[in-house]
Amino acid sequence: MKPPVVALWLLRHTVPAEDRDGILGDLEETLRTGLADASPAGMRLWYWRQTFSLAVRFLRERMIERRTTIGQSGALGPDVPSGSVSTLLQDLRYAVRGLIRSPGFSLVTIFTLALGIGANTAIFSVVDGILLRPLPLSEPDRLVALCEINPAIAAFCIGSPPNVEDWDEQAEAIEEFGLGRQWAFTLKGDDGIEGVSGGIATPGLFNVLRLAPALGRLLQPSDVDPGNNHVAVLSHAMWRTRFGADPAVIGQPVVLDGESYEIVGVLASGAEVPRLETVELWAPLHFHPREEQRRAWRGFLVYGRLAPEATLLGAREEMNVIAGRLGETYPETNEGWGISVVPLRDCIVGSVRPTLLIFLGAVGFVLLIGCANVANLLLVRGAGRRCELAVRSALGAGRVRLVRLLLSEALILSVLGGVAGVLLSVVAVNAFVSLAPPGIPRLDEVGVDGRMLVFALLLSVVTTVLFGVVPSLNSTTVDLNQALKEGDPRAAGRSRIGIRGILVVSEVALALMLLVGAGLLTKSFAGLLNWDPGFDRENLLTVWLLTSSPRFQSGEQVVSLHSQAAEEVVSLPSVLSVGKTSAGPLFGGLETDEFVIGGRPDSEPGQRPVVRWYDVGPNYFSTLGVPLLAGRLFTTADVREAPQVAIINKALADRYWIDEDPLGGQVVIHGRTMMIVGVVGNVASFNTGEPVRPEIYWPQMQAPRLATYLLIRTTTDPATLIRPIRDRLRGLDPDMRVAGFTTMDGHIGRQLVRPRFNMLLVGIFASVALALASVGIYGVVSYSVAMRTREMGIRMALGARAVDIVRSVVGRGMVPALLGIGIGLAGAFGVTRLLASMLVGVEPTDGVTFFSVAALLGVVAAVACYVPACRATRVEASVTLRED
Amino acid sequence: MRRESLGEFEQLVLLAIMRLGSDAYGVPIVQEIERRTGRSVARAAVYIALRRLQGKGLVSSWLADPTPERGGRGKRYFRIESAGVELVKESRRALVSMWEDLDPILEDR
Repeated sequence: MKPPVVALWLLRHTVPAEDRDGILGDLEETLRTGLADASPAGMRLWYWRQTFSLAVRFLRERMIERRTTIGQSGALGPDVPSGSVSTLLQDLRYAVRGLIRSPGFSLVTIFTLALGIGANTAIFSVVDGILLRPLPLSEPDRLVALCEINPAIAAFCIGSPPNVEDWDEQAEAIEEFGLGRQWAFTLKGDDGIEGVSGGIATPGLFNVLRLAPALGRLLQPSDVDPGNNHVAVLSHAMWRTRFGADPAVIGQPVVLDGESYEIVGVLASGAEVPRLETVELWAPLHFHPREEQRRAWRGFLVYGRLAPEATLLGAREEMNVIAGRLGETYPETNEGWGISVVPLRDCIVGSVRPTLLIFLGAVGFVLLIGCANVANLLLVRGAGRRCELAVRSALGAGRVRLVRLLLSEALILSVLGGVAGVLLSVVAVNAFVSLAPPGIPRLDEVGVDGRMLVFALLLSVVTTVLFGVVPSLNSTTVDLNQALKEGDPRAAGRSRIGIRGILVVSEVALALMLLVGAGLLTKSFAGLLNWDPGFDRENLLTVWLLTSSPRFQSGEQVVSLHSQAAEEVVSLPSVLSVGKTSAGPLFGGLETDEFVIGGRPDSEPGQRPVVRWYDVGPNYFSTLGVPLLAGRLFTTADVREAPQVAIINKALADRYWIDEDPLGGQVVIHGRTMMIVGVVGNVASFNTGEPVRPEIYWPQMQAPRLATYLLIRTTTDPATLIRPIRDRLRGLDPDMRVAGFTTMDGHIGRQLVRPRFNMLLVGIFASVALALASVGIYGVVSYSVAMRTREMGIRMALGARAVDIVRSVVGRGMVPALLGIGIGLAGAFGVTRLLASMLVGVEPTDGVTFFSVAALLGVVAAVACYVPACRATRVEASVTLRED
Repeated sequence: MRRESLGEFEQLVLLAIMRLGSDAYGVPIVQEIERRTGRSVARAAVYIALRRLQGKGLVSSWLADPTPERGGRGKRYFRIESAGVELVKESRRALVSMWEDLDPILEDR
């Protein structure tokens, strides 16, 4: 019989080459002659016993021999077959000892890796939690958002209930539909009326999303009927906070908007409607979703669930057909309207996707710079050790062995860097989540988890392989003769300045791109800080009033109640004046509509000019500080019975009354014809560079509504007046809802949160990049100085002046830096376009920023060259020459 | 310099090589020890001992031409070197000296 193949393989890998032939031959000879009487199975067993016995004994023998060799010479022994655990452990032990011997190198490398890996893991965690992970809903890939779209009207993703009812009847690719929207209820409690962030929905909304109740039931089809729709479902949070998690809450009444509703259910913990997460209490629509006059009320978020076999594309095609059919059936409300179908996840996170991808790109740059630095450090170390490696090689260590040693070092460094990076990323993710501006979807789902550890590990391994192997390959092509002849190990690395130069060029280029990005964001932010709105920003306070009690029979009664409220507030000391308005700069909703200019040819609906409109009280402009440019302001005499009047802003006057006097002209909006009696100054847009919109104002008394903002001008810090003002207003009428006290500074601050956050984050990345790049330049220049010590010593001895030496060193060091700046500028020119959406009032190719950043980087690079250059001038010729 | 000393098993291997003369390679060495001592011997232990003895310069070896009955591999023959001979002699001397005058004691037991 023949020896088993596997056994032969094992023997070949354990028995030393010089003994192998004799031993294997002996075994085979015995197998053929000495065991002639044994069965084949018995022979095989015998051979395997011999194999294991030999393998174990020779492995042990090899370890003993190696210990003796190292004890004697301290060098790595001859090449041994790879894959042996003991050899690997030995390499690792050796590498650790080597790293401990040069703590500076080790710490800088680990720190660099930790920064790169930590920042990347943190940002990738955020991107993963928000963009990549599926929504925490049942079969989230089948969920879609549906939007009615009309090219002539701004793109909001909304729809109207009767249309959705028709879709539900006709569509097959989408099996279920649901819709809902926010609805501000007033809730009668023990302390009077208060506002509740509520929502109204069809029962389909909860079915589509497969939300479940914790108690009772959710909305059901019978709740749709207007005679039967006074039921409410609590969010889990509201049930806990306001009802003390009382299970007996089911069946209890609550008073919403003055009417009694029955609580029928509580949503399960964590069950939220995407895009409507703040809703605390759900009720059915207060009208039947088939009610025809609601067809044009496109104010609802619409959700659908694709049928099991359906595709997104198929659903889109089918919905297009349905939209065309509805346009023919209901031309007045539906002509020109299409339907878009988008995956729900895209709809939720689409707005933050560009920003997050920019962050991801920015940290990617940091990692690349970090890697370049690590590669540089390893190269320098490898080159500095050529002599050592040559000696090891002479003592019998083969190339594989040396590469393995260098790889072990890189592996240890990158694992340590990776671990430090993961720790850093946990801190960074927590910081990101707590500092992030409000309104980022799914932020609560962000965290570092097992997947992120895998990500960090992969990053670590990749950096090791890329930046450990490449320098290893370089360092181990050691020509013993050459290395030893040169004697000076530092001289041997000269050939590799090219690779290091390229690394510095790329580091500088990447850092420059990041710095330009940070510079642009900073400039944009500074522009926002200095916003000049065209009115006095100081000492302004806003508060929102809503009166929806059935006690008030007409809108005029409500408006006079609100006027009374304004008078109450102005009677307080420290209050200068109080104005009323439906909305204003940075606060309140913006209401826009088409309008027609009296006496001019009308256009088709959808093609008329669009204007922002406000209803305001008499003191609005004087309180805000907007100047009157022509005509008059509103007075208390502008009541419903008086002639209908309007005031326009300068932007509207300039646009539509180019060479005419707008005073006395007419505008028609909402079917009301108003005469223009005044022109006021523009309020600058907050986003500098954005044009000022045309605006129309009319008196609240002539078109009364149930809600208004009070705009309060004070002589002292407005925040101190919130309590007395609230007390006054509460005392006036218990049914009046008072909410949302905010100072103008608060409004501005809220607008600044997101740009500030963007600026800070990119700024941090850019600073890290700058620091790493300068370390990189410094490292390369000081290395080249160290290599040229002898040359400089001689030059100094021959009379070269210090300034010449410095110039020469800085000059050489600046070449890759300047090259990097050039390449970085070109790259930044292309890359900063991606930032356009984050920039306000600054061009992505802003020359000043580009120039300043290039200059900054140039100075930093020069300093990084200058420090080692100065060291070079302190070289004593006699010392360097004697060293040899 | 420390004097090299021999373990018992190494002595057995050295003696087997001497007995076998020009036919001393793995298989007969194992058989010789087993036959003379009456106990079974692990081949691996023999090969390790041979390797160590060679490392100490007590034996030398050479590889003969390959033969088909050995799977195309040659025999590695061993020969004792003078240092080895010296050491076995030394070892025997020590043992004999230690055995001297012990017969009465052994008989008493």
